Order: sequence, then structure tokens, then C-alpha cells
Amino acid sequence: MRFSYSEWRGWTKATGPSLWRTAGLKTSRSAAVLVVDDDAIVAEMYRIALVRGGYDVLVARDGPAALQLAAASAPAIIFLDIRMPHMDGVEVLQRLAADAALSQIPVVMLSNYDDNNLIDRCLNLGAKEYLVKVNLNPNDLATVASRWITPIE
Amino acid sequence: MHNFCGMVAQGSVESSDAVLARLLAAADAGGVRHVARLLDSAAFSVAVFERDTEIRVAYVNRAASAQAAIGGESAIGLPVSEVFPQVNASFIEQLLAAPGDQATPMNRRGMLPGGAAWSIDAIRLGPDRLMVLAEELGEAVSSRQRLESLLASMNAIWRPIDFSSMPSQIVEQAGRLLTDVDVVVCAMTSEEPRDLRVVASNTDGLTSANAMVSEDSLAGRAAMSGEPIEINLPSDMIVLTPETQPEGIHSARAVPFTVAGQIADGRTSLGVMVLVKHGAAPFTDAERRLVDEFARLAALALHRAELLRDARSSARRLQLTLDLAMAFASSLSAREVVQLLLNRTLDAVEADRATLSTLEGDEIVIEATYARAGELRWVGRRYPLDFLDRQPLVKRALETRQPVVGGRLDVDGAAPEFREALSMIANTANLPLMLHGEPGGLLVVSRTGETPFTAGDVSILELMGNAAMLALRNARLFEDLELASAAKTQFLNMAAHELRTPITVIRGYTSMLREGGMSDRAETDNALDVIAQKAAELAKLVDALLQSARVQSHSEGAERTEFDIVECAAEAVARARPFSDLAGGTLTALLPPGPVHALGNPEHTSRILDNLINNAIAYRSGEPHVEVRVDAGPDYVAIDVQDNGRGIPESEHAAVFDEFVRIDGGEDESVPGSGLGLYIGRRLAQSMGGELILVRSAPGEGSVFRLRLDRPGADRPV
Repeated sequence: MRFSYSEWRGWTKATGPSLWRTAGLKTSRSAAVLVVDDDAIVAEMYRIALVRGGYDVLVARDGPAALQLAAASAPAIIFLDIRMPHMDGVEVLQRLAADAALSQIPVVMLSNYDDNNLIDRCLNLGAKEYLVKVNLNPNDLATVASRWITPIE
Repeated sequence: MHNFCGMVAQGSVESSDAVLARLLAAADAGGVRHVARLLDSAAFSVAVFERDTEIRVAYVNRAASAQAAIGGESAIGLPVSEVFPQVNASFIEQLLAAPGDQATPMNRRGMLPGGAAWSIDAIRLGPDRLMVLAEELGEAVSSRQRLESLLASMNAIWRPIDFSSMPSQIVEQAGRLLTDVDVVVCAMTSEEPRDLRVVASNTDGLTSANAMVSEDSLAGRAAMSGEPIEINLPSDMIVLTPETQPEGIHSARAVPFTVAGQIADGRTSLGVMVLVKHGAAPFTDAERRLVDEFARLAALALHRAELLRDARSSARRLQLTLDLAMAFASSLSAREVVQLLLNRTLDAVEADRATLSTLEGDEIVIEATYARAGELRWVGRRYPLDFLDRQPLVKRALETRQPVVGGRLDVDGAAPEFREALSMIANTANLPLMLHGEPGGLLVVSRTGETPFTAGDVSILELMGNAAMLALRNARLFEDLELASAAKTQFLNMAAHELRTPITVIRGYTSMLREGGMSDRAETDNALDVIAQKAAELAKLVDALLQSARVQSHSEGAERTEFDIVECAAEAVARARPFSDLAGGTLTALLPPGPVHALGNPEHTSRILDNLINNAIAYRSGEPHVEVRVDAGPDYVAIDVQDNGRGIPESEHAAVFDEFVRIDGGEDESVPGSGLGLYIGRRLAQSMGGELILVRSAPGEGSVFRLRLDRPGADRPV
């Protein structure tokens, strides 16, 4: 069975980075986190958790949007889903790694796939961690982020 | 001859019949038996005399009968004086009385009392029994010497069983029998049964090695007719080849190598022995009989050697087949099987090209072709079976289920890229490959050379081809199994992913709620709503997965009953109406006034219709307008569900029926669903003997899906 989301371009009407928002800056650590997930409910859940952890949060709903946001906003870390329409997370990861500027941003994969080959592939492509969503407490995302973000002070 | 007669002389011999019987019984098949028969047809006179009250005749051969007053059977038992008036009985008496060991033949030469000059050989078979060989003098060689040398020659050519050295042995022995002749042996071998070629000679003047001998030459005529032919040179008739016609005055005799019964490949003879006598003297009768008899013996020996060689070559080929079968057994790859078969086929029968096709229903699939000169080439092209109308040889093989050996293939009937290769083919063997008693494939093997395929070639090809067919089927079954297994793994991976997605949210929000820190009541309420929604999605997904697993395991067919499709459609429309109203659209049912019966399962049909109508409304673009129609054909009913929704690009038409495939475009609100609805729907439709198809769809133009079911009485297999 074919399962390549990158071929699904034909389905889209709007492909621009229309689906992102910044969080309210309550306890901001002045670091922006980019959450990439096509599932609005999941993305919102992670956004809430990270905002509570003190981060500014950007959300992208697909790969092209994620690449544009990453280039425009230089987030301190990217949480990247794998199964997405238009361009899957692995391809986004490859493109980030191929770009001199963007390759500096730490990437943590978030997916419900737990295939070892896929995990190895992502780590080999430069992902810092690979977290299986179903086992992840959203409240821990802030800790994960702090592990990889270089302090600004 | 000494041993031969010694053997006869041992023990007491009762009568001439017993003498002959013992000769025959003691002889081993073919050779010595033949020598025994010589007695009867010998050029010289043979008689056996017995003494009781007087000397009587116990046996006369044909030549002796000709000399006798009373010949043949009638002479038996009569006194010698009545049968042979010219022979003095006391002469026989004298021979019988002569001293000497019983086992030792005596030899007497001299004048018969009648006055004629004869050579007499006598062999004492017992105290009162005597075999006399008599021949008029003047012949170049005495009868006994001739018999001895014939036996020696026969032994010489009988002993070796190496076919390749046989012709030169024959030439050597023939040259020994008649010392004043040039001898040439030509053969028609089983490899080239139509060609008569020079294979051995004791002279350079008459021919060159391996020269082809024409049919209208002396040698050719004798070989084809199976009868000896003799000419006096100079003659208009060519002896062997025009370039090597002997000069001067000679006699030339060509004696064919014939055997009783049929020779394989329809040959009249195995070849021919040509003798050209030195000098002007013609062949004597005795010489003719000698060489003819020798040729018959040589033919037996040649035939035996050829059979033995063929048997050895069959054994070699059988070994090749066994090796191949072993290789097949260890191969689970269909491509490897095809490759092995074509490759080994070329070696086993020394062919130049081999092509394997398989039969699939009404189609023939040309799998691969392998030319000795080039590489194996995968074709993988399908043709309807009537494609074979252009290739009568192949067609006949398939229709008769028997191998067909023949000449060229029809070049124009082949695909353009094969025409050049096919035009070089001179001989083909076309074999139907059987699988469980039915033709499952075709093996076409060809040679560019003029050598046709023999029965041995065909049998080896049949063995190899049929073994390959079985191996190929097994390999394909295994590959299907591997694919099915891979598909199952993929299904499980996807199912796991789909199930984890709602659980992720449920667990995530639950953790966040438990650890406190939702900023306000609204956020908490929202989290609880999401949890409930995801739990409901999860339940639906589990249902869909179970249903999907069920239709997979029951794909052979559901129980079919007659039910009213109109009622079924009307109920489905009624169930979907609230959703349609909620979406602000219209839902129209165009149904016939009365019931229309269909064959299938009403629950499955309802489930399919619910899914189709739900999709039509859910994947909307603006206000959804959905129409449900029931059409009845002569043997089917069709329910169409048409919408004005988002539509599906043609490139994705096939994929919408796959598992976990979902329309998820750039819409702000993605449609919830398992991605299993259409997959399950199609499987359910198939289980009822019907089908679920996408009639038409394009982005922005909506879609039409159709469920087709059989009508009762329609004669269609489920």
C-alpha cells in the first residue's frame, strides 16, 4: 500500500503558513519553541503545556509551513511530527539539516510510529531525541526543551 | 572359427537341428547368432552327415542343396549316395575314420572323386557325425578362411562400444577381409539423420573427411534404398563426390548398414560402406556375400553403439535435470527459477534461444527470453490467447498439450523488437508446460543452426520445463505469502499509529489535569471535552478495525439473501438526514416506486450506504447536496451516491479504497474518520458478490460512488 503524504499536494487549497499563533507571554523564558503537528488538537495540547513551561510557542500544521516558520522566526527548538500531509517530518528534518542556518536548531521528533528503523533514521539525520507521543506526558515537553536549548544569558 | 567349432563339437550332438539349435543358443544376441545363420545362407556348401547303418544326410544348406540331386528338407535322412551321387560314400567314410581328436576340426583339401576341383573342410561333430564345408576351387579365399576372418572382424568391431571409433574399426576390418579394396564409411547419425557424411576411410584419394555425400551418388542411393548397389567404373554415377571420382577401370560396391526393425528418426540405414576394388577384376560372388554379411554385422554393432551413446547422453541429461530440480527446490524466487530454467535449457539441448511464457486465464504472459549470444531479458508482456494464432507451432503445442518440433516461427507475428532475433531461427521445439494436468506455461526453444530437435531433446526439455513450472508456481505462492505478511505488518503498524493518536490526547490531557495547572475553568472544560471526543473516536476506530479484520478473514463470501434494495436505501437516507440538515445541505433519494430485490446481506448493504452518504456530506465543499439513486439492470442493481463535495483527483482514485487512506486536505477543519470506511465497504461488497466503485470524481466537481449487487436469478458466481 502506498502511503506517501508528500504526494497529497493535490488535496490542498491553502498551503501557506496560515495556521500558527504565538502564545501569550506569561512566564516567557524569551525562547521560542516550534511545534509541528497536523493534528490541531494534539498541537494545541502541546502548545498549552509548553506555554505553561514558560516558552513562546509557534505552531505549524505541515512541513512547508514549518520550514518557512523556522527560517522566519529562528526558534530555539523544533518539536516535529512525522505523519503529515504535503511533506512528512522526515523530509522536513532532511531539509532542515541541509540548510546551513536551520541545521543549528535542535529538533526533537514526536510521533506515534515506533518503528526502530524509522527512529534510527531520524536520529542519523540529526534529530536530538525521538519521543513516542502516546507515552509522553505533555508537561515533560518543557524539560525536554530545556535540555537542548542553549541559555541566552 | 576353431573355438566356434570346438564349442559345437563338445558333447554329443544328436541331429543337424540340434547342431543349429546349439549354435543359436550358444550365440549371444546379435553377433554370433548372425554367424550361425551364415551356415544356411553361406556361399559355400555345408552338409552334415551321420552314420548309422549307412551314411545319411542330416543337414544341407542352400548352397549344398544346389549341388545335390535332392535338396533342402527332402534330403534329410536319405543316404548320401542318393543326395550327392557325385560324392563317393567311402570318401565320407574315410573322413570319419581319420584319426584325430573329436574336438579338433579336420581340414582336407583336394579333388572330389567326381573329378571337379573342390576345397573340402570337414569338422567332426562326433564319432559318427561330420560337417563338411565344400567349395569349388577357383575362389580367391577358401570358405573356411573366409568364415574365420569374418568372425575375427566381427569380434573386432563388436568389442568396442565407443561410437566415435566404430567407423574406423569398420574400415580397418573391411580392409582386412578384402585386401585389394579402398574402403570408405559414411554415416547418417541421429544428430543429423538427413545428412550422409564421410566418417572414416582407408584412403585419401576417394574423399575428404566429413565430406557431405549427395543423395544421387552411389553411396547416397545405397544408403537411402537400404540395398547394396554395384557399378563398374568409369560410370556416370558419382561414387561419393564429383571431386573424388576414381579414375581408371574399377568395380565399386556400396553396401548400406541396415538393421532389422526401425531405426530412430526414420532413417533407412545407419550409413553405407563403399568399396572400390583395385584393378579391373570385378567382385566375385563370394566377395560380395562376404562384404554384405560384414556390413550387416557392422550395422548391428553401429546401431548398438549408437543406442549406447544415446543412453549415455540421456543419462547425462537426466543428471542435468536432477541438478536443475535440486536448484529449483532451493529457490524461493520466481525470477531465479525462470533464470535457471532458461539458462540451463540452452546448455542441455545446445539451443540458441529459450523463451518462457505463463498462462493466466485468457492471457499469455511472456515472462523472459534468453539468447545464448546475449543476456536474459525480462519481458513481462501480456497478450490475449488468440495472439498465438500467428504462431501455429506454439498454438498446436498448447492445443494438443504435446510438444511440437518444427521449423521457423512466424516473424511478422512477433513484437517488432523480437523480429530480427526470430528471423535467424531455423528450428524450434515448442512445449506446453503442465501444472496439475493443465497447461500452465509454454517453453519455446530454438536453434539458429539446421540441426532439428530430437526426441531426446524434447524429453529433456519437458522434464526441465515441467519442473520449472512447479517451482515457479511455488515461488510465486511464497512471494504472495511474503507480500501478504508484509501487508499485515503494515496494517498493524498503521492500526497502532491510528489508535495511539486519540490515546495520546486522552493521556496527555489527563496527565495535565491531574498535575493541576490548567489556568482556568474554560481550559479545564475544554480538555475534558477533548478527552470525551477522543474516547468516542477511539471506540469508533476500534469498531472499524474489528470490522476490517472481519471482512478480511471472511472475504470468501457472505451468506446471500434476497432483500429489497429500495427499502434499504430509503432507510439509509432517513438515518443520514439529521447530519445533512445539520450541515445545511440537501439529501435526495431517487428511488423506484416498488421494491427491487437484490442478492446480498442487508446489514452489510446498510453499512456501506451509511458510510457513502456520511462521506458525501462530511467531505463537503460548501453546502452539501447529496443524491441517492437506485437503478436496476437485467442482472444487477446499482445504488449511486452522488455529491457536490471536494472531489478526488484521478491520481488518487485507486488509493481511496486502501486502508487508512483519508482525504485530509488543507481545509481548516479536518474530517474525523478512521480511513477504513471505503476499504471495509469494498470488502463487504465483494463478500456479497458485488462491487463498490468510484464512478467519477474530480476536485471541485464532486464524486459518484456506486454499489453494485446481483439480482436474484442472475447467473453469476459469488
